[in-house]
Amino acid sequence: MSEMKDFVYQTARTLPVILLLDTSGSMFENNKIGAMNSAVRDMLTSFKSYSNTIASISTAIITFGGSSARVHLPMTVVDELDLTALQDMDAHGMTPMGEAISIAKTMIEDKEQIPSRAYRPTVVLVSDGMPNDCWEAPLEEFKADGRSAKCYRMAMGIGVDRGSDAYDVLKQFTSDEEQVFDASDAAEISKFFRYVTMSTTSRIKTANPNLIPSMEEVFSQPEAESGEVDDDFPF
Amino acid sequence: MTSPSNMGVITGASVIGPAHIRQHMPNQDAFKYRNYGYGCVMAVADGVGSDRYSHFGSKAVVQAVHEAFCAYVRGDISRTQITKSIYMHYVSLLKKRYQSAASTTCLFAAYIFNQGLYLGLIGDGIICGSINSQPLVMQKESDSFTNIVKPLSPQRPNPIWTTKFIPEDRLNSIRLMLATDGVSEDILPNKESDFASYLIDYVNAWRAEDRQIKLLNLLENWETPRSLDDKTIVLYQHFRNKAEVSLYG
Repeated sequence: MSEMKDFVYQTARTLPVILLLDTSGSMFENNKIGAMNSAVRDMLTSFKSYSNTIASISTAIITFGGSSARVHLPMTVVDELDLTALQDMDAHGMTPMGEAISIAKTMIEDKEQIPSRAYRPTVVLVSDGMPNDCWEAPLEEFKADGRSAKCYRMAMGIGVDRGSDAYDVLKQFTSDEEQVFDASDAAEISKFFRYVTMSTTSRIKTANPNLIPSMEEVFSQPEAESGEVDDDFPF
Repeated sequence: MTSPSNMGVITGASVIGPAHIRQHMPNQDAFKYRNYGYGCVMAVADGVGSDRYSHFGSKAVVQAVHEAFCAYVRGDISRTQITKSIYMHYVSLLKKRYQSAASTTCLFAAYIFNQGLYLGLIGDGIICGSINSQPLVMQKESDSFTNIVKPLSPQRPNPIWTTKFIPEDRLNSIRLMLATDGVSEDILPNKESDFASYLIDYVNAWRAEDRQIKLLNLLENWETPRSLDDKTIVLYQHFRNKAEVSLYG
């Protein structure tokens, strides 16, 4: 005899967050890679605490360093993520950002990884320098075509001067060219990832998670402790 | 010939989503169904979440669907003008101060005696079920993500509808579900028509006066976890052969 659970999903819709992270050799200087590892872990820890109570967040990490880009963490619902098994990222080699953008594009167009019922993904690019592969065409395709064109894109430059070619790449990537976040030290790297965290968690609490809050709106909210939920909220 | 006595169960229900309760927002879904002397008209709508007055928009468009079909049956408009008439009635039903922020989706089904079945949708949500026991599914293309749609809006005077007409002589049985995306986004792929059939059989098992409350209970106890959106369903069935009516209750 059929029951409703035979016809509807038994898992929540997800809000995907995809991180494109620079792990080139220059990220080793001033322990930028260490600060980024720490900030990403804090973000994922926060996601895990919110996911259990309100909605489901899924995350993937794509790194670009060495001689190629790779998937460091495949698209994973954070409820199922074992943070103790997640390896830290190492810094070495070149900056194949274009390849990372192509990998992200393939991931986003794959409806097995990100189904149509998912909310609008956020894609976050973090870099401290100029890419040294062919990045223009992959970026243009990412922004112009398919499901990736509908994603919300954010970027942070670590020690990247405004007006430089590297800064211009980040500006071209973002959905809002005014929203390239500048970071010069570990504290600001951490602040940026707190913004990504708060922006994501505020979306999954609203009636329309596809609306992206501005940085001003996010930082004007009181920062809740991990897992804090209104007592009268039924989930 | 078909007649009102061949018409089966119609019921509909709507529940507000937990996200709207939390944000002190109203239910932005609306629905209206009614049997007329000339047939039956049903409409379901979902106001766009980011629009402040979209709950007025959804109410306006479901009313507009009924007014448009009544105008069509009176002979005031032709068949090809039905969707344009829906739009014009929707705009005229909205007070001017609401028109800038009252976007909405819309799904409709209208069975007109001796003519046939009219189906239409704009935005997301789903019309599904079976026609003559053959599966039917109408919904937006799934090349995007949830909640990203091109809805109806007073600011867009030439809306693009998806429509379908099935003439009377090709209709033996109709079993339909109209639902907003709070329901449709949670249905498993390729299970849409089966789900409509399951729901229709479920409500048919109850007395007529109990069917709406049973559907409401089902929506309030939705199986998909953390499903934040408003949910609205209208169910309809119609049989040309009276014998088939008795099979389904």
